[in-house]
Amino acid sequence: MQVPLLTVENLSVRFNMPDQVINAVNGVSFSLNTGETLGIVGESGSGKTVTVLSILGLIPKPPGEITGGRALFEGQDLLPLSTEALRSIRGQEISMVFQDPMTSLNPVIKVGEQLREALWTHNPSDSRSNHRRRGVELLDMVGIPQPERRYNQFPHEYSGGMRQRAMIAMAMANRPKLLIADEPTTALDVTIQAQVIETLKAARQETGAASILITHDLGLVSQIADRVIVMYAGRIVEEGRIGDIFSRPRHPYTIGLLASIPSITQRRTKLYSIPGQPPDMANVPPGCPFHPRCAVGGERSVCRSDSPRLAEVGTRHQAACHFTEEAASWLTGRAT
Amino acid sequence: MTRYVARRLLHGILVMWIVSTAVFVIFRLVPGDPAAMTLGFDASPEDYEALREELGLNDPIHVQYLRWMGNLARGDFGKSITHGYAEVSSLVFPALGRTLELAALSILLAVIVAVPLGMISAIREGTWVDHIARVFTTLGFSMPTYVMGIGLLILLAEVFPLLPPGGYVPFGEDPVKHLSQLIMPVLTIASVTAARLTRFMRAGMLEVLSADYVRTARAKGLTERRVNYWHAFRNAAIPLVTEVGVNFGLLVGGMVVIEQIFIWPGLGWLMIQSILTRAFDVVQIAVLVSAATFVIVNLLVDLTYSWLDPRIARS
Ligand SMILES: Nc1ncnc2c1ncn2[C@@H]1O[C@H](COP(=O)(O)OP(=O)(O)OP(=O)(O)O)[C@@H](O)[C@H]1O
Ligand code: SF4
Ligand SMILES: [Mg+2]
Repeated sequence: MQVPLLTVENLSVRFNMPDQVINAVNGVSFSLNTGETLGIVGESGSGKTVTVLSILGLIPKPPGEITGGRALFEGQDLLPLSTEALRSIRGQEISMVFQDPMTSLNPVIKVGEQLREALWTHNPSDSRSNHRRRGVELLDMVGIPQPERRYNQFPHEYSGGMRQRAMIAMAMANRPKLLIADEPTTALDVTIQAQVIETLKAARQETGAASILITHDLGLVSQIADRVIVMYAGRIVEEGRIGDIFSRPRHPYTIGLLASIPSITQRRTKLYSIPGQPPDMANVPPGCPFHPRCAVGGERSVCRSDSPRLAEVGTRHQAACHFTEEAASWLTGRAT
Repeated sequence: MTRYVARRLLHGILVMWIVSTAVFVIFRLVPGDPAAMTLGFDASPEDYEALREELGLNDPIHVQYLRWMGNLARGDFGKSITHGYAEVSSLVFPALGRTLELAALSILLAVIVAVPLGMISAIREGTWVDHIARVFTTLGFSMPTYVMGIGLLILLAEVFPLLPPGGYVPFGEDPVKHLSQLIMPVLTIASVTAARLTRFMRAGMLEVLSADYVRTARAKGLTERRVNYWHAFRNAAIPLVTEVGVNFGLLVGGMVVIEQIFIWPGLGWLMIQSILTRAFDVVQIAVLVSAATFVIVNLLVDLTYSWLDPRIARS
């Protein structure tokens, strides 16, 4: 078996707020191989962003605090590294594309300058003109028209989609081994979304980078990910290969998410939606955090008292539920 | 950009027109007309009438107004009767120069202190540096300028007679003395202004430091120094320019008390002296020049701002 590129073990992160403690990530473990694409899905507040930011030491401390776990990148644990040591990883080995392209670029610095900086900081000995040439090349690669001219413009002169492309160009600048995209299209128009995803795919192919794609959109995940992690209340509730998750989901939450995707083939008269609200992360329900909303085990005492552990439910397929078998049949019941 | 400048200029001219009209109205509405003000209450009716005639106060009001505006437009500020018919501009402008000198040096010192202090206290939020900076700003905020000024005067001129207790000697006459006379008023004004600017800088930096683009800059692998002093600072500096400009404008018009304490013959001092000697012809021009300085400073601030912030300049 090959050594994974990234292995996250038992990661736990909390935010110590003045009046409460938010356990944003609770014992999350996963791994990712070279060239592989991992999708992370889950409702708002489920800890997706905090998980990936922690890997690069980017959560604000305080109030954030990593309370446990490891994040091995090529065998090296990144969590205890100093900011200075992390610098050579950030943007070079692992890079990120963020959710909101409108706020993720510095408004008072030219796009080209920000791009050149990403190159320069990891290759300070290379000449300015080389960086510039490469910067223009990168803008061209992500499909920005007139890259020479665009290089010298400010972010506000770019459209939202173009800014996200520029972000992708910046992320790919040093040919990272891992590209993390945190809801890269959520803030964009539907028509632009597809283009940006294409750009992302192309960039990934160009460099052969592994990638993590965080999204609310299961449909998108099915198009580009090899494996998926489903998160709920800062925990992984199900993990598996894309085909298994879509054809044999085992966790009621995953099943609910899948049932709420609009589908072209199955014409449902009414789209399913998971009842209730995502949990308040400062007051996560005891037992299985999903129980107040669960159609399968919501009424059972074991679900209210014992938090289920992640367990094998198939080949490279895990779920954290006391009643995975019933969940599967509940799904069959609904489909008919 | 040109249109922006033109619009701001027009705006400035409009404000000046309103101010000069207001000065005209106020100085003619006050009980006892300018002639009575100049002569005082014990003047003879003949003198009074003669002065009214000389000042043109017997002309219809619109003629007076047009004459006033016309003179201002030509830059003719008139002669002061109480000052032996000296040109008013020869009194007001040197005073303005002395006030500007004081204000500029104070602002400069305040900025030199406040920018690094505010930045460091934001970057090291919650550490001892931050606490010290906050004690300093709270002190600066809570202490009235005159208390600070008088305190310094007692300390450095009375108890330890290191500095002259105020006064003014032109730089060309005695540079050393000139500078030593500047120290206390500059320290007084600068400490209060620095407190205000430090707080502003700290708040601005804190806001910017949690911005998404600062996270992006870190994610790229930039050094902390580059993130803080380039990405964050550039954004925090833009509103600071406005704040510095506004403070400077306020100083120019608000120097009255300090100039009295340190006997610095600036614009505020001139205004008080002219009021005491009933030189209304000087007071009205001093008020006008003070307002004009404020308008010009604000205009320069706006232009600098638009030049610094690409979102305004090029949209
Ligand atoms: N800087 C912070 N300070 C305090 N709490 C935070 C901070 N960042 C995240 N959290 C908390 O951590 C929890 C997880 O947040 P996270 O951003 O990881 O969610 P997410 O799954 O990415 O959601 P979304 O889909 O909305 O992006 C949330 O409850 C949030 O309130
Ligand atoms: S453990 Fe119980 S409450 Fe939780 S998902 Fe499974 S069935 Fe539902
Ligand atoms: Mg998120």
